[in-house]
Amino acid sequence: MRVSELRSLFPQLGESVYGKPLVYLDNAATSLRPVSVVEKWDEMSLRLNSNLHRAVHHTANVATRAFEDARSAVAGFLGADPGEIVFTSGTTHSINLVAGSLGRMEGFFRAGDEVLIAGSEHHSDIIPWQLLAKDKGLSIKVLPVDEKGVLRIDLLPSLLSPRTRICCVAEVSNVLGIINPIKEIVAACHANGTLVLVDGAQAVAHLKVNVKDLDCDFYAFSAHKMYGSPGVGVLYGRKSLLDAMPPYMGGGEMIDSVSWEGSTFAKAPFRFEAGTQNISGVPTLVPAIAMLELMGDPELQAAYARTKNTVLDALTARPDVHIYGLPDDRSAKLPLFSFAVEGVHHEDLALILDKMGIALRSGQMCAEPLMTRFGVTGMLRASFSPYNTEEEALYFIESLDKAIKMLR
Amino acid sequence: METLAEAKAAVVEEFALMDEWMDKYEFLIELGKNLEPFPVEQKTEDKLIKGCQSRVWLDTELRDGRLWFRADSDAIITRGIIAMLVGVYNGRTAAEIAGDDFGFVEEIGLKENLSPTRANGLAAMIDRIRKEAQEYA
Repeated sequence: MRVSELRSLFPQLGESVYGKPLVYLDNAATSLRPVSVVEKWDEMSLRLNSNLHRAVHHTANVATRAFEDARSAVAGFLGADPGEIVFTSGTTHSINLVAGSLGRMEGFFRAGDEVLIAGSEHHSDIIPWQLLAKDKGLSIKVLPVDEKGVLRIDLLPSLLSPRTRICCVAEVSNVLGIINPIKEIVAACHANGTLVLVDGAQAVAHLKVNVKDLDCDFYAFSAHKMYGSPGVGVLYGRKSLLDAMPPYMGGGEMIDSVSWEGSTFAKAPFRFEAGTQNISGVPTLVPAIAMLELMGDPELQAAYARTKNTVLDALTARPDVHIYGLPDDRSAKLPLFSFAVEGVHHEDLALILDKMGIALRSGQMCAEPLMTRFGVTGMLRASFSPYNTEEEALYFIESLDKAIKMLR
Repeated sequence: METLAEAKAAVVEEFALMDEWMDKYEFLIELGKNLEPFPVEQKTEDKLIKGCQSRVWLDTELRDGRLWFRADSDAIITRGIIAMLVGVYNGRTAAEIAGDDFGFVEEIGLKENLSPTRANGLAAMIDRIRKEAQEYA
């Protein structure tokens, strides 16, 4: 498939800003939505709207089937069992669910236990654990990254202690774009009796994920970063764990029986899906996953690899540009480039590039500890998708050059 | 010295002459570059304006019954914006500044051309200048 054909499935790519064609390089924040996803949302909203699981009427059954089909599709996509898939509102909700439920699980955390978190994590994989740590008297340990942004997994043996209950790490950091060695981390953690939660928010749109191969205990991600609907997230949890975990939120739909003396709860995953679910949004995961499969087309992937190399070559050729997250092996890097330009503020660059029609991200990118680690107040981030062309990449490089000249 | 009304009108006119927002940015960048240096040792916490995406400092001095501002930012366009504000309000009496509506900023369309967080930053700069003036008024 040609990139131009792929682009025709994403109407927003035809938009103009300030009279210039939109060059959308903020895919790590949220990806654009294909027509197929919007059509699914429309179908669920305009024709099949009804509440799930409870009613006997026809439309409710059809809607329930669409919802459960999405669960099966996600399970297939991750190499998991449908019973291991919990729907949430996003990665943030998924992580809060794990922290909240494990925190409530009898005997799981004792005061003085430890949580190990990668130094490159997004705030949504830091704050839930800090909140829990305060509640339960836990201490937080950090797995640092080196100058290049590579996780120091050589330090794992000294960082893991008999008290380390869970390790939280992104498969790909939203700032560094480096694919982390999850399997090695899981192996080291499991040998220590430590669970592993993987934040897959940035990975799912780019990598073939298999949770059984990774052997992680939890895997969290959002639909909106993989061409699906906003407000939809997934939590994969190992069956034996989900079955043992208490509810995180209470409400309708998650119960077995309710009485004033006490209530019993539904089986996992339903136990974790309290309240009315995102009826219109969750089924969009089916066309979203189909889109990821389509993007796996060899011709598209070859063009995508060329685009990545074009940007990497251009940015690394400039002595005044510092890329954060530059592994020795380029194949371990996604086309997600966070960088700083010597003597030019990231905010100024973002403002000028915006006026040139280029959408990208600037600032701390919800990873303040990582900014502190590198001694910067913020960075500029250009993140690509297979629908971005090499011409767009060249225009970005040329515009960056112009903007730097203007600002110096 | 031109009156406050004249100074504001001059800025509005300057912006009206430029069609492209890129030109307006270039104009602000020039203003930013020409802003009088602000000594590092004076960039203290109390002079930092809260609510801006980039760091902005403002120092106010009362001399001969008039207010004199000095400002800086680590981002050049922000420095240009604060330079423009300082240029308009420097050397006015505290009462004159405190009583002003800062409406000319709306007229040049700056707010609509900044992202919401940066527009908040602009509002924070204006608030700070107004508050400083109210304190001296």
